[in-house]
Amino acid sequence: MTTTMPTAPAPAQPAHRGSAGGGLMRRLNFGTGVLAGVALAAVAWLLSHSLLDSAGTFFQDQVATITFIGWVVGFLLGIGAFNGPINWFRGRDLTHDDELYLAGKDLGPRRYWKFCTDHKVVGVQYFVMTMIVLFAGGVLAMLIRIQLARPGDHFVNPQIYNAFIGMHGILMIVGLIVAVSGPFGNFIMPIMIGARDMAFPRLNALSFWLLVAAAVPLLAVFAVGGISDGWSTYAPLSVQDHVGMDAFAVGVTTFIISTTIAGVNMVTTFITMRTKGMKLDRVPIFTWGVTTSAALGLYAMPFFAVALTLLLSDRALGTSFYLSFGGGTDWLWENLFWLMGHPEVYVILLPAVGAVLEIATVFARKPLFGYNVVVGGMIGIVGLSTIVWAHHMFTTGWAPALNGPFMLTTELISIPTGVVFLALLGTIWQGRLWTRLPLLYVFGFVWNFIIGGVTGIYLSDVPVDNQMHGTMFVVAHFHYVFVGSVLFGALGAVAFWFPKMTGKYLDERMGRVAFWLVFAGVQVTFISMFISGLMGMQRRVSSYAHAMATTNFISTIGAFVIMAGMIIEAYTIVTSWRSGREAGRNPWRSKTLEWQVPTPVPLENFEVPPVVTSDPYGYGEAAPPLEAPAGHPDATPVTVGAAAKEELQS
Amino acid sequence: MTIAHIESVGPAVHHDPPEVVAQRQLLGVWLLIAGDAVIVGSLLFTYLYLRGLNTQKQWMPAGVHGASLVLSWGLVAVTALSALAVWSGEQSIRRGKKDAVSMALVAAVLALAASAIGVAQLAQIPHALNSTSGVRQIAGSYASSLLALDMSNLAHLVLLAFLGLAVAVRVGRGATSAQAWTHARFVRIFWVWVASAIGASAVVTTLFVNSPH
Ligand SMILES: [Cu+2]
Repeated sequence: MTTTMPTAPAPAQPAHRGSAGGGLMRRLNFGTGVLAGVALAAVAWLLSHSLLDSAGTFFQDQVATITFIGWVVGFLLGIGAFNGPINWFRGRDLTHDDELYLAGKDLGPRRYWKFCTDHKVVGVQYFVMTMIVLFAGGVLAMLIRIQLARPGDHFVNPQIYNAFIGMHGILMIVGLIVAVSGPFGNFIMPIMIGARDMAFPRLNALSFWLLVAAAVPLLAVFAVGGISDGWSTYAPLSVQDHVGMDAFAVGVTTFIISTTIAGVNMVTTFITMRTKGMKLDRVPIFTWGVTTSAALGLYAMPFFAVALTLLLSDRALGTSFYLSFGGGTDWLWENLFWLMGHPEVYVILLPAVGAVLEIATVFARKPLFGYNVVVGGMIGIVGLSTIVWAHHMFTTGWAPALNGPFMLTTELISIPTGVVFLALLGTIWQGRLWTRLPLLYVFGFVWNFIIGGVTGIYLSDVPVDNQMHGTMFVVAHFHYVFVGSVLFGALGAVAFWFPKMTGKYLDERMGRVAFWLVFAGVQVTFISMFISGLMGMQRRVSSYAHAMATTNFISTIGAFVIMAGMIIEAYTIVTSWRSGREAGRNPWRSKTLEWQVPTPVPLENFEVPPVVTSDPYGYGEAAPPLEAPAGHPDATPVTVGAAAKEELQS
Repeated sequence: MTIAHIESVGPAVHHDPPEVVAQRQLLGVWLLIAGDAVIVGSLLFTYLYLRGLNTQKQWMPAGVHGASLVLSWGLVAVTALSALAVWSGEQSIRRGKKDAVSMALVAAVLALAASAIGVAQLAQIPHALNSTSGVRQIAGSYASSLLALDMSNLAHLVLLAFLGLAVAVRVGRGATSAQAWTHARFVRIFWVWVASAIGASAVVTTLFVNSPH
């Protein structure tokens, strides 16, 4: 279908000053960002060398911190992220032409390399970036499993192994936080609610490019000595760690700024950008998943930013937040970290759950089971997840009197989670199942999430946790949640929305091969890892007792099967994107709005805002007759022809 | 999803009305403040928690005294004055009065003055040679927590100075005016939040100094 741009005259615009449509932005892109980032990092390095006392105890950490901050600021300057605030300061508000230029009008593929405000471009950018980050984390997982294939430090020394562990952790956490919300929250959610873009398009672009800026110090951690104490970087070890920790802290803090801005944007979009008739009980459930996650992230992530800033301060300014000989305490780190750390699990999980529920309705051809209950469950999860953090601290000696209450709140959170899970089963139950690739991932999610969820309830129990804490049992548990559930939800979302984002089907046959490999690999790897944990194997160790050799070897084999599946998945994504089968506008005959607009989706999504009169899950019900928009027989994407009517009635 | 009818419109209007945009931006401002509140709250928690623990009696090692109350309450007073100036500037903008630019400038200058007080506070943070580490560092967790609060206040004040100047420039160039004053309102809301946060940190650091343990 062809896309038509609006031909009507734009409303009154601020007067032009300087070159129209973008001005300086015309010359800025990813390349200028990298140049400016490197340049400012170099300047920061030189200045800190000449101005700071090179004999001081904290000199190295000061230089590293300033240099990495220089990179981040320089990169953002160079890509044009600060042009908006500067122009606002100068009283130069954007003209409509400026906005269209920033949204990438007539820029073609170049717009993917620019500070582009179109939510669909940002969604695709996040999609590619997520794959890169997850791939890097996956390679590290393979290196870890090579080390653990047999006992004895036969592959790398423990110091390098520690860096593998910590960086695998943080890259996977970053990758999974953005895995669903980034690509699909940005690309799909605004169209789902009938909006033309996100509430704050420039903040949207800013959150993506902050992620790119953050990736550089994170990857540079290896170059400057690695980190030694896992991604949770417990103090006081992290205070004493190499310069790599400075890079880590700057990178993660930058990422947190990105998620905070994205959280503000998503919540505002959901609340204020819904089209006429899109009441809160009519929005597709996926948007609830993304929004509850964003709201929770907005609350939780700043704790980690504060924890890391205080860590940098201990390392570079000589404060004592975490050092007991100066009056600090590691419990401060643990509290701040887990105040972020537990909610963050649900920040990662909720969008994936939303995607799985959305897919289930379409492929079971049934309304969502218990819509209001699911929304209530999601909100309940958000509320409860803010008061469970200390279940990670049962064995630390912090507030033993609170162990009981935290056990209770943690067990309580399984109730809303269970309710949402039952609603998923209720949606599939007695449906007319159309077992295409996206639905396979829903089934995989159901299987894995049961295992990941139930083992989590074991661990919330204080006596059991005293036994299991810090073992591979815990690692297997959260990998069933993160890989088995979240990654499956994300891959299901890829299979489901790929036709809308690219116009092509994700190849079904190759996709199935990938699905089964990843699914089987997850079972082999992590069931075996449960056993290693039950035998008492500690996590994050580079070697282990001979008794655990068999289960570890099996886990390594399983991990390589997962990797094989993921490589096939990546190959399938690339080849399908290039030369896959054309999918058309609505290949799954879904009723949500994103499938009613043409593919590729036009710049501002809807020529005319749609008006919604029912929830999106009326499968099997006859649709009321549609009217063509007066005077716009073919201008609008949400029409309306015999074919569309038939689809809606199916 | 059933779409009952498509609104029939004249020329496609791709901009929401200003009042809708203003509501949206207002929500964004409040959400940003919520995120910022978590940061300020964590710093206050850090202060109170470390004071409560007094690990190895190093909250206030020997020779460390409470921070200057004149400076911390002077900071609160100047920031409050600046908030007043911003508020009255906003009123002038909405009424189209001529003193709007100068009120915004006054607010920015007061924010800069408050920043100077913040720098003076930082200069007073006590250092000492730590007997265990043998390194000259900031003396104890009281001084450390003060440093964090002072730095946070300073960063906020510099941001306020930028916002105050921006309002002055924008009013001067007609970008913010009696017809389009919402940005001045957002600046005022954020300004009042920062003043409250600075006030809260002054209250906490005045009432709770010596560790009970
Ligand atoms: Cu937890």
